[in-house]
Amino acid sequence: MDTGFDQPDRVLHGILGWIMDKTGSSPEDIQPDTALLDIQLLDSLQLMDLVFFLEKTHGTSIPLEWLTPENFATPRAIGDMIKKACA
Amino acid sequence: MTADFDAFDVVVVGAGPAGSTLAWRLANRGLRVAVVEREHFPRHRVGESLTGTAGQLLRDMGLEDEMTAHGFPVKRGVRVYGPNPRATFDVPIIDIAEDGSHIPNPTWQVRRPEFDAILLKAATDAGAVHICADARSVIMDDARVTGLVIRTADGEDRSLRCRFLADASGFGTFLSKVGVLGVRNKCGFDKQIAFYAHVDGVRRDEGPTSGNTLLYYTKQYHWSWHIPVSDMRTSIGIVVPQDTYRASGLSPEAFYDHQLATLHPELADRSARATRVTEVWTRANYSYEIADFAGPGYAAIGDSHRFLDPIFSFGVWLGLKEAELVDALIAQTLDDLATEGAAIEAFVTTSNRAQAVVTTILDTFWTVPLAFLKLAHFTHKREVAELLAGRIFDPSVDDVEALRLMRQTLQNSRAEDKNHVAA
Repeated sequence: MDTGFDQPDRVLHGILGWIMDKTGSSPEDIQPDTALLDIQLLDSLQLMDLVFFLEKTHGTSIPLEWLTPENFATPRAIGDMIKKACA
Repeated sequence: MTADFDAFDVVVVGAGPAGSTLAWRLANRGLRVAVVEREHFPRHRVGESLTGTAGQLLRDMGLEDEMTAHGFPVKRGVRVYGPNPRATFDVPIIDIAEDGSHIPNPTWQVRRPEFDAILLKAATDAGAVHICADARSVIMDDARVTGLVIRTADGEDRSLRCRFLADASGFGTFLSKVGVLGVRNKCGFDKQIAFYAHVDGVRRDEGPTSGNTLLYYTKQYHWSWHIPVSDMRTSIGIVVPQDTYRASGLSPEAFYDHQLATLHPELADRSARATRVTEVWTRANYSYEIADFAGPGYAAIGDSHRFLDPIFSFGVWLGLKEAELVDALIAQTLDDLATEGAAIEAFVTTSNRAQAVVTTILDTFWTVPLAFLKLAHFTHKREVAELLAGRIFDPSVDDVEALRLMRQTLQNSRAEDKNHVAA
């Protein structure tokens, strides 16, 4: 049933938690739509670490061609990519 | 008026690395070889960094002592600085031992005027004849190339008869210009412009990696090379889309200096106390390919038939390796013309295979950089290092998983792009 509220998004929470853990950022700094690449919070090596973490956690694998800047623009975009990979 | 000059087994047009090593090989077989070069040595060229395979080939030619005596910087690897300065990755130069393990296999950075002179001297020491003249046209007998018309310094035209003509004229693309080969087709990276100069006072790493190549890139197709060419001096190149340069409204010198300070923070930091000691050389529209680059009595090698984005320094290696292939082709077919057609087809296939590998690597690096990073830094480090070291000619290269993944990735991402357009 559609309650009209966002369902708890475990994938997105996992991503936000990982980023905060690795960068020492606070929840105020990292929102679902924070422009990760614009603020250069994560470098590309860390983005790859995040990919490996998410692949392991969700038992999926991200196709190489999905590793584009657009899919890493925000935590939400990364989450959508993971959900697509799990679908 | 055209006077008959001399007859050779093979005439080579151009005394760059490809032409001189081909002449060296053929002369060592006891064949009569002429190398025709219009420019007086030493002359400046771009292409100062060698792959691991090219270094190995020079050692096999017995030139290690000479390379060492010239004090060319030793290159042990390449470091790539990405858009975020903290995101760097290193690609060591490696060779494969007999047991399949990887061993360091350093190569060199070269000052081209001296390097090209070393190779030409090796060729003439082996018995090749160096003719200082301008290649003007070819002599054909039916569909077969049988000679070359040259114009000497005193303005006289002379003809050189030969049983085989090799075009190693580089950017001059001689056989294409005289109509033996097809025209130059643009391919992919043709809208780029390169600015390069030699610079003193650039900060290097300390220790054994001080001679390594550094590459910086920020946006797609905006990049810079740092190639140490002596203890003091570094070749720094800036490559950008031509539109970026035109929009700047700057002179080449002003644009170059501005890019040193702004293209990448790491580059700016390393070159903060640098002094440019040469003019700024420029080259635009430099990417091209020419189909059907070999036929009865002729073959084009190296840059004389194809030139791609030079970021991974494959250029000199492609020329040296194609010289080796064409040397074998000539040795096999000179006295057995019946096998020439098949040998030429095999040469073209081998060359095209290597060029396709280079194209795949470049396209992956530029269009799916994170995928390239994943393969090169994490999952397929050794395979990517081997490819970048120059092991790209053997048929087994098509089985290398990293390459297969790059091809699949490019195919899928192109398909996705099309879907986006369709949607």
